[in-house]
Amino acid sequence: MKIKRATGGFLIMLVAAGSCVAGQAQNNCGCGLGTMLWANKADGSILSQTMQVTTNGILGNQTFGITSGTLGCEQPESIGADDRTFAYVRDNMDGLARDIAVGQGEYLETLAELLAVPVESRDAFADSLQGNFSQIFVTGEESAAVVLERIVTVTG
Amino acid sequence: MSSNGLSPSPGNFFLMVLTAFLSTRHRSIFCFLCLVFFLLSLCRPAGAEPSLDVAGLQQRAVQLKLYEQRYWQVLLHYRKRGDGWESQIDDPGFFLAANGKTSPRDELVATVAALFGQPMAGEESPRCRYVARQAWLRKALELPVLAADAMKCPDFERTLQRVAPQAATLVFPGSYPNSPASMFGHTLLNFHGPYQSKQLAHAANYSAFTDETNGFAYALKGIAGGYRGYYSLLPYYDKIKEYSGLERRDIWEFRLRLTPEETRKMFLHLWELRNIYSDYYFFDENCSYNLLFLLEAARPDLSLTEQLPLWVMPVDTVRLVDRHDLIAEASYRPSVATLLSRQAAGLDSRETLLAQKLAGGELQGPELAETGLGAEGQIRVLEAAATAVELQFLKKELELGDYRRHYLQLLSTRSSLGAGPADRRSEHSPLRPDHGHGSFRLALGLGYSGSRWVQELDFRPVNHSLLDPEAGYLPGSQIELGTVALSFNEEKKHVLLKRIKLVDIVSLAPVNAFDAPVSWLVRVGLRRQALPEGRHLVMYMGTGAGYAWQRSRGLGYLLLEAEGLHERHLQTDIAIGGGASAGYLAQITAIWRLHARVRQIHYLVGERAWSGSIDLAQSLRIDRQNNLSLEVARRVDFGDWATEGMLFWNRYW
Repeated sequence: MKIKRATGGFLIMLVAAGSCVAGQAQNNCGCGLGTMLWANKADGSILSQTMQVTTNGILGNQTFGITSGTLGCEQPESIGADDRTFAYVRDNMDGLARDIAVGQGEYLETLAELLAVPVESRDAFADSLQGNFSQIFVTGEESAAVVLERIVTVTG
Repeated sequence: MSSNGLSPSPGNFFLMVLTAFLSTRHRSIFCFLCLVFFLLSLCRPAGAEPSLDVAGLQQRAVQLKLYEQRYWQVLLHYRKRGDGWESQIDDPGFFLAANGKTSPRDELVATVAALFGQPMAGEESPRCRYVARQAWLRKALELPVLAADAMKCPDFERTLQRVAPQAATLVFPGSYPNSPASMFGHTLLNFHGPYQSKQLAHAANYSAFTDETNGFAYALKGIAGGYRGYYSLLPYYDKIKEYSGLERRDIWEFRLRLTPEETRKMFLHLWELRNIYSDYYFFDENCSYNLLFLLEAARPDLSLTEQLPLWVMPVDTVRLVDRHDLIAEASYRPSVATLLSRQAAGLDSRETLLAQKLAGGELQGPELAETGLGAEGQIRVLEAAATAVELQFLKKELELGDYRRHYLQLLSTRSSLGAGPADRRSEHSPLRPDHGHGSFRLALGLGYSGSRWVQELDFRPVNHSLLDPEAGYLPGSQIELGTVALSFNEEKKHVLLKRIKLVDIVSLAPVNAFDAPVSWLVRVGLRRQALPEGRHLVMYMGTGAGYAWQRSRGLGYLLLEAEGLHERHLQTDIAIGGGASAGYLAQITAIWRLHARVRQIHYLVGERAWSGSIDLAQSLRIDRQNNLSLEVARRVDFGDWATEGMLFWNRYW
């Protein structure tokens, strides 16, 4: 075991390959497009990408982040009980914007499922979102609550 | 207990009240109170289970030899060590007995006491933490499942409800050699709830936690087990963003053949491992290895953690799981970068130019209609440009404000063009990574070198070279570690160490219209070569960087290289220089590959001389395990010209 690790050590120093030493997320959340794309990374530096190092240490309850953090982008009361849909829209706004504009895609299908849109109405759902893209995303800074509200309004 | 003691313990207080009441004439009130006390005693805290005789249960558990049962070994991660057992878990907080790490029996006895003997006390009580041990012991000891328990562990119940585990997927984000961290891939285990969408799964992940920012210290500590590995659980869509977006890795998802009940057992065990660490070792006790414990918890008759070699490559765990017939289906999720290169490949030259202008901001979305391009062309151009903008942002080449404005403008224009052609995303998938050739390779060679017949034996434990069959591997990538080549000279009757490649990594990432990644190579090792005075074993270290271009049949590349040699027959023991290499790597037919290369290095420091080579290598795939290759080279090293031709039979496993 020791020899194996010592040999390996030399290789790794050169390769600096941390196969799966994935760092834990830092939820530096804000609101709007682009903010959540980096949510799982401390920063985008080469070092961070290469080493996937966390700057966050270990906080027990974060290791089971079944509901994403709500730092800086809280769920408003008015949205109601469905925090899963809210969290999804907040955390996937970039992919959702693309799929809505394109009129299809996995993000759009996921949203339709979360909003319990019947399968037979999903084409109409996609069409009406696509047709109203510019009403849903205006500045890109709008919060998930606003986006979700507009989505619900548009698709009636 | 003394009846006249005045300490305020509940027992004494009760006696005092009793004495007081007995001394009065209020017998009826007393009887009523007795009844109340009796009823209260019936609803003691749920955890106490008044009927349970802990000592008896412990005895029964030992009599049944539950500690010898496979499931107990799985739940505690015990493995044979000499005559005894040792748990792979290093966190003392995981064990209830002081010697629980090494004694399955004592841990069982302590667990029975902790689960069935103590009253409940919050989330961190044994009953809320050891949900899998409890479920199994209740069954084994024929104890009823307590409905009231659910109310006492709200964290667990909430998590269970949220995840609602019903099915599971093994997730393998493939390697992207331009990012060394991904070199060996990674594996995750997804828990699917009632949703169709794969994005709504939760991903269990085992990873090392560190705040080390020094690469060398990090690497060393990683080898020696200096970091602690923890299991975590996150929404899978977060992991998609991380791997598919930031790290530009394609993801493979392998749906597992597990029943909902098995999936649930796996989840219960994962819950037990919450906040529990094991020492993390890069090579063996790594992310992939540790996820196998979860699969064993789902189906204990699988024995996955005992069969692995000295190191665990994530793709090997996929193969292992497949060998146990656990993989029901595989699906492929291209990364943002892969998506962009596919979108770029679908554009003609005029569309490419327009998309580049859109992505660069020289052309605005609404102006595209004025270029006279048809609607389908506009759709292709806008979608490629939007992906390019997203990738620029992911690479931190765009500010947030610019990204938003730009991205929205392109998407807004796109949204006005309607549905467009049918789904363009589900294009062909490459071959499954676990269906590629094996990580080990043994090559037997026969050839002519330096005017002599030679035989060669070449062993490579890890993992893939440019000439190997590419299916299942990232095109244009080579990762070779620890390759050893011995040559046997027929006339001189001796065996020589020909070469040790400690590290030989090449990443040829082709430039496309939107993205110009740097191709690179790193190599370190020993090789026997001609020096000014004869042939010697030389230590070499080299690196290079440049660009690669995709052509219809293959990949062309040009790299600038630097190389250092060390050997005592060299002047001042060293030779350091620079040069270039250029090559063409082609897939001529489905089974025939070719790699042609020229290379020249001028040594300027130490021994001044030059090396050059021109070589042509070809390979012919026979099947998944077998391959023939033919390599012909003409080279000059320090004034010594030589020609070599070798034919190899390569065996992979």
